[in-house]
Amino acid sequence: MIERLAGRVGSWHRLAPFGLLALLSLAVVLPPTAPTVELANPDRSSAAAFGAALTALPNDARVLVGFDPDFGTYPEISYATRAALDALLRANASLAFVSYSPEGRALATAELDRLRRGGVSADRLLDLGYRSGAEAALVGSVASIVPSSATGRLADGARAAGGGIDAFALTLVVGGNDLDPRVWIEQVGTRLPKQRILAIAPTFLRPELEPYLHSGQLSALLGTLRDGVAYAAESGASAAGTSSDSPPSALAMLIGMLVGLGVLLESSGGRLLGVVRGIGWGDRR
Amino acid sequence: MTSFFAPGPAGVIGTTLAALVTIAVWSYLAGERRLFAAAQHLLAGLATGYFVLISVREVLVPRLAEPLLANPGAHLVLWPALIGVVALASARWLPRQVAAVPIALLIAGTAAFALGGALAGTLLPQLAASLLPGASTAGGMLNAVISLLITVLVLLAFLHGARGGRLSDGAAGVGRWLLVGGLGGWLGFLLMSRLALLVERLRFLLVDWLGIGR
Amino acid sequence: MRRTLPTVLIVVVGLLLLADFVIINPSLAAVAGVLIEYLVLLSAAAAVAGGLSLVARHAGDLLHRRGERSSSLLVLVGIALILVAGFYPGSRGADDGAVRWLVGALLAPLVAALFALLFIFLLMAARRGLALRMRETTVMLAAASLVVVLLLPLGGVLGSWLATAGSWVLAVPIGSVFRGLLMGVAIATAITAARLLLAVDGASDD
Repeated sequence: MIERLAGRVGSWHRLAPFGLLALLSLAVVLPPTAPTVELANPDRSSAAAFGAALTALPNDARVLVGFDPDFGTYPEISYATRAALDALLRANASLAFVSYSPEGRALATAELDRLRRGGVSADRLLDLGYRSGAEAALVGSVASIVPSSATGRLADGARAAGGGIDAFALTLVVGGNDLDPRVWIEQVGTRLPKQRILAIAPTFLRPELEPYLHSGQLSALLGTLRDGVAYAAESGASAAGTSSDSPPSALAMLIGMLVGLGVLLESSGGRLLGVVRGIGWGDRR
Repeated sequence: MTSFFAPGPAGVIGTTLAALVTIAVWSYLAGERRLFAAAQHLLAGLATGYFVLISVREVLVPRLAEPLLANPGAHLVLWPALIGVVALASARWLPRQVAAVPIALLIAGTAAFALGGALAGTLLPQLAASLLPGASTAGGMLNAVISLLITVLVLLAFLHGARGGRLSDGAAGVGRWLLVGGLGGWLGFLLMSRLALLVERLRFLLVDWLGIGR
Repeated sequence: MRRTLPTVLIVVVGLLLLADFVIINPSLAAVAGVLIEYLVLLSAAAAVAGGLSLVARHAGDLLHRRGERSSSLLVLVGIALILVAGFYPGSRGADDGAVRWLVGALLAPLVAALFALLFIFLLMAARRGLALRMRETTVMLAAASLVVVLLLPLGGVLGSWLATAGSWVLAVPIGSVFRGLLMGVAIATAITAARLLLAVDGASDD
């Protein structure tokens, strides 16, 4: 009897992922109706600091975009990234893209193509390409990042200003799994302490980057999906095109997080209380 | 990630193919191992091919081959690099001692940059940020004290297992539990990241591909 | 202690690069610049070496009828597809439309689909961790639960309160734990790198 029951429960557990996918699918296609469900972070401090750092740029500024997201996390930050690129272009900035990871390079070519198709003039975009060697390449870029083959107003201007990373007024690092903004802080920030580094990173990197934001090594950070959506909403993102240019469904995120929360809390019962008591009595298991 | 395609038939075919490979990977949930394994092998090939392509076309050709072909005498420092590149690229077929030389260079660079970055980029600035918080309000000072206490306890956790006094052992034990709790907090952030991707992929299948709810 | 050419190279090159980091000297900077250029080129060569090694292994498996031949064929087809699109006469390499199409239609969705599954796998792993009844797992999952609650996408008064609490939890307890963790890892990294660069205990011996 018990074995039969356990077997039934086991088969339900096997079906659970499909139940979750079905629920999320429904939430994805449903129009957003509940006003209490809001993906944008109500605490706007991160979004405001990021926006202020961009608007403080002088007119016609050169901005270096260190573009190293990865395929596994870019969908989470693409909305905020496009909003930031839009804001920079609206502020009349010119953008130079460089990548130090293969996936970052693949995504950079796609973003550059999207911007060109969107009508951004060629002299405001510069493709600095891919650099192999991660840390070594970053250190090399401090002194020289504009290749001799690069042409155009932006390349010439950067070359005239020294040709290194400090030829740019600001560095926007779009990070991911392969090369996160910490590497930029450790290798570039230490060599060019006056260079302002802003970052957009997926949510799971947020705790790791918090100490660098607190110490001022990072000027501003959009480090969670909610901060990214809040920033995009405030900056008036205009990146229209496919449905992928909109943020993830807030309802689907809420349902998924509640399911996740349920699983995390399930079966833990009063064990946490026991653990707290155990910690009080020392480290014996 | 539909920005890879320009509008048109190629985009439609690309979107369909992307949807099919997504379903192939997710078939693992239904116990279908062969499609999943096939997808993994195709991924390994594509990723390797892409890595080789950009390494050759965007690094080795413009920074090594082109300068040497254009003016061999003007780039004398690149000749040793060429020998190193050839030795490393054909390491599989060369004696171990030959391939060890360029590998030693890579190890030296990695170690030097890791050492400099860890000390000047993380340790010293974070030490300064802990000890000189710069808070002006009472609440800010309280937060700074709590932060300093947690940071010290977590640092002591790295000594866990080493012989020490009763007090330092106890502090290291508390630090270890704080570390476990902090990593648990990180797990919460990680879950949100992965959920965002799952929701985006579902939207890709339902909205971008099938056109439901567009 | 045996000293070989690779060991000597690690020590000399490593210390030169470190010296360039702490001393401002044009001659030293010029030498370090050349070394960095070598490192960039060698890293690219390492990628090519990896690719060649993978092709040799899977081509060998196919020719000698070893292992899963269909898997080997798929690996080789994947490599060939990208290389043909990136090297055909007139191709613009990574920026070529054909390469971008292959990346968008195959490479990117394959990776994204795998990563998306991790949400479900993480939850499954959490359940199994709890089943082991380890105290560390319980504390870890309790902390994860708290963070998930604080990140819930809610608006209104409750949403504002959760967001404020979430900002504090991130800045103070979690931020401080990660500061300690980063500092601890930085010390460990520095010690390991220094031992390698100073060839202590044969750490960098061949």
